[in-house]
Amino acid sequence: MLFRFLIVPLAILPLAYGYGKLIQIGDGLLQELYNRYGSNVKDDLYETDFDKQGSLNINNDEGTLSKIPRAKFQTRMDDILLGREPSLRDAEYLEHSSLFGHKYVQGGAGEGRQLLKPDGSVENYQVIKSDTILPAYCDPPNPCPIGYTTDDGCLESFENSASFSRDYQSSQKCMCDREHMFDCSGNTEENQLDALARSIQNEVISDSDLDDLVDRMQEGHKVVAKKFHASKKRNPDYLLGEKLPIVAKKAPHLAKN
Amino acid sequence: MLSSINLIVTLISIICIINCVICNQVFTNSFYVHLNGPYGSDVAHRIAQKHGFINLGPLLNSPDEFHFLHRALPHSRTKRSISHTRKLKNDPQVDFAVQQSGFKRVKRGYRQLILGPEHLSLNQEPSDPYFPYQWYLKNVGQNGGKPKLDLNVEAAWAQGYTGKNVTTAIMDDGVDYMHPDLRENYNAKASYDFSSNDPYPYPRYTDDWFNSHGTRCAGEVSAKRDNGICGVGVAYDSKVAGIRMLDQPYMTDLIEANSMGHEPDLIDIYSASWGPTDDGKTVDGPRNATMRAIVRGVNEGRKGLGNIYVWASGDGGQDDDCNCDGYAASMWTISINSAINNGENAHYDESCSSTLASTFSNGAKDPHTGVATTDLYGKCTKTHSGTSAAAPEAAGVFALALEANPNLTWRDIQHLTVLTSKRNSLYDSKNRFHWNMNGVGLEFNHLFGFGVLDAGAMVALASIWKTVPPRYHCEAGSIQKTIPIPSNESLFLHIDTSSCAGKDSEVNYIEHIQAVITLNSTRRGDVTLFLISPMGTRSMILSRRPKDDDSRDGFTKWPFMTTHTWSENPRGRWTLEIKFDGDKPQKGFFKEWTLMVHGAKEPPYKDLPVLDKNSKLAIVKKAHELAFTH
Repeated sequence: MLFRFLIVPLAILPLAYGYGKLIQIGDGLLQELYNRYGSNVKDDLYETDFDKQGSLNINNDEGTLSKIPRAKFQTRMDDILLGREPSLRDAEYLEHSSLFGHKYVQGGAGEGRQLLKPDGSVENYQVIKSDTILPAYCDPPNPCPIGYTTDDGCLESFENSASFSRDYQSSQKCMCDREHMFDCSGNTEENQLDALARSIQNEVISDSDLDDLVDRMQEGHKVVAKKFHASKKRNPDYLLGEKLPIVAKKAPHLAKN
Repeated sequence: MLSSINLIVTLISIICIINCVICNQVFTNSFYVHLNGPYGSDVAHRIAQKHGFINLGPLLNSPDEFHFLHRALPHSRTKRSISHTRKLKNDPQVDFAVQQSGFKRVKRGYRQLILGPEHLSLNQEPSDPYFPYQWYLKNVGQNGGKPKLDLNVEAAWAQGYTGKNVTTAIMDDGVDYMHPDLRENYNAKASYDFSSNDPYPYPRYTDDWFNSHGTRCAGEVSAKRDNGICGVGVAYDSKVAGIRMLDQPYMTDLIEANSMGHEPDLIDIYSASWGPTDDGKTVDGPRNATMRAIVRGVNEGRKGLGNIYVWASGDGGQDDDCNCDGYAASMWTISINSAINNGENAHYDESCSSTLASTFSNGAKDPHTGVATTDLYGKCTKTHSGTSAAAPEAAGVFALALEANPNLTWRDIQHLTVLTSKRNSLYDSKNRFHWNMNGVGLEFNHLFGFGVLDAGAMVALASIWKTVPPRYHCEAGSIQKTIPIPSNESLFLHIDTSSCAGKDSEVNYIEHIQAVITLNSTRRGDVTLFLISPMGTRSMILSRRPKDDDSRDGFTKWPFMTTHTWSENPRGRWTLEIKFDGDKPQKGFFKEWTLMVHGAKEPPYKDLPVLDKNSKLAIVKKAHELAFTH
């Protein structure tokens, strides 16, 4: 049973406060990790020396092709684009689970009562892993469209106005969207962290800064910080995939770049 | 004796009178057809086709009364065409048919006898308060615009098409589906909120009303008509679904993929006004899962007919090229650029050879010439803007076409777009890109594709459309060789192809051409690429991007797409021209070019009737027939 994993219901949220703080910095942190990840890729790659390459290339095409640096953004080389078959049909599909919401996973030595070390001298402690540190804005209200009722999980008593939505969202504990809210002073306690998180969005922060930040969060929220610290893993798994583009809305007057 | 003479005189005079009556009457080639049951337009179309007529549509929206036309008859003649009338009368589903006679009317009352359905005018304009500001629907010269430079939607409405039973999904930051102008047209079943994971994509409040974009786009497609609120949508009886997916601080491949693959049988058209950053130096596109979602939508969506993905070409302005945006450059998306109200391209327009057509958006000197539509919290706006505003207009026009013919495939929609878009008075304000004609006589422009969408013409052709023959994909040839790109002159490369002749994947009539290219250079933004077809069509597949200073990545198997060679024969010599265009001399290496030809083996329009010998359809058909006989 050591490696049994179980999804803890959403209700178990004693750590909510700690996560709340993490959410505050999540945006900046994510950006920082993106940056770092991105810059690693850059460093790995060889500088292109055009003169050198030219002289090599003319002599031997085959040999040098493999020396050409791989671009960061690889285009799809799968069957879709360069298929040599007359008909390009997908045979298999990517299935995506219909489950949603944050995930809380517990297992391994972080679950139940276990005695560690050969002599069993150390007692384990509880670890709940979660993806809640992904930054998220407040959720908008979900008014009922025509033909829907409260039973469908939507709001029947609803007023379609800006103030209603503002009030609805302000009762939530969520990240303040500084780009589009004129005033984020409501959550004063987290302001400092907020500012820090914002400042690291556009510049690379040093390890000590990051540790500092994490240490600060650690106070009083051992579980969260412990997990973060113990692993020393800067790139959570969800950052290991391809780096995604920033998405821009195609309206020049709306987009604030 | 006298009485018999009298009788003869009487008879003669009667005959005379009859004769005179006959000789004064003019018979047209129009027929009033009354079916013996409320069979609707589809049956009427079949009956018309069976007997060589063209169904111009129902009379006063009646399910059993129709207006037929026979092209083989002269527009006016003095005798009835009994044989034609009899053909119709003998049909078991026809109650009676009357050949229409023409009368004389003076001035105001005069109605032209021959009117193509794309010229039909509306009896009564929408009464919505913002309709007069919707110059893109009806341009009468308001705000200094050019009269008649619009989407010609009134002609489509007059033909009875308003988007019924078609759903367009707005993939954006949510839709105010409680808006009184949208409520009743909202398709809740097809909607979803991927930003906060629930079925209700209501927008999130921010102080600056940033998340109004989706609501504005939704209003362009299907704001209700004659309800006294805001304006009217292009397809005002169509349904609109909201897919909220832009409103979280990050974007993932899975959110995009889930959005583009959401309810592909309930949603007909997906409209997207977003993409990789338009900073003039990004080269990016859909990732694996998203690409698969698009392919799946095209192959299997709409119960096998394929979803229509409408894409805004981008707001990067002249310094960007949307062929570097893998979404807009995809063959499976219809990328739409925008023109302003006097026919100029908008200053923010991002152009590329993969653009298929254009619609309208803001940018005129008069700053109030935005797109009038719905806004958040039940409000209206006149300032919706950018190519963002252009894509939903196109989605609305496609919704009208899908109502006119629900069996249209995703390719049919692209063919219809090519054949019915109009050059109108679109032009490049900076005089860089001119209108050119491709090898089969289709006019194209680097900025506007095949021109501005014409809803009236599109639904008219859609209603008689025959699905195009199967599509094949031919790898027409490839060059894999490292060749230095000269600093001061063009590098020309050639591929001679038979376009898979004799193989399973033979293509004789081009739809899309992809040049899949690998190269690098000391400054990627200074590389320009041109593709010249065997029929001589020169297409700029990559323009200069002054802000792109990449010297490392270059392009790796990047598929540059062009639509300009549409319907041409791909056989012969293709030329790729690579040259630097910049202030300083640059170096670079060409590595690889693979030419992919996508299109039909059989002539795509051979079963379509030509109603107007000056139409693009007539011109292309003729070119195909001539090529076949030679």
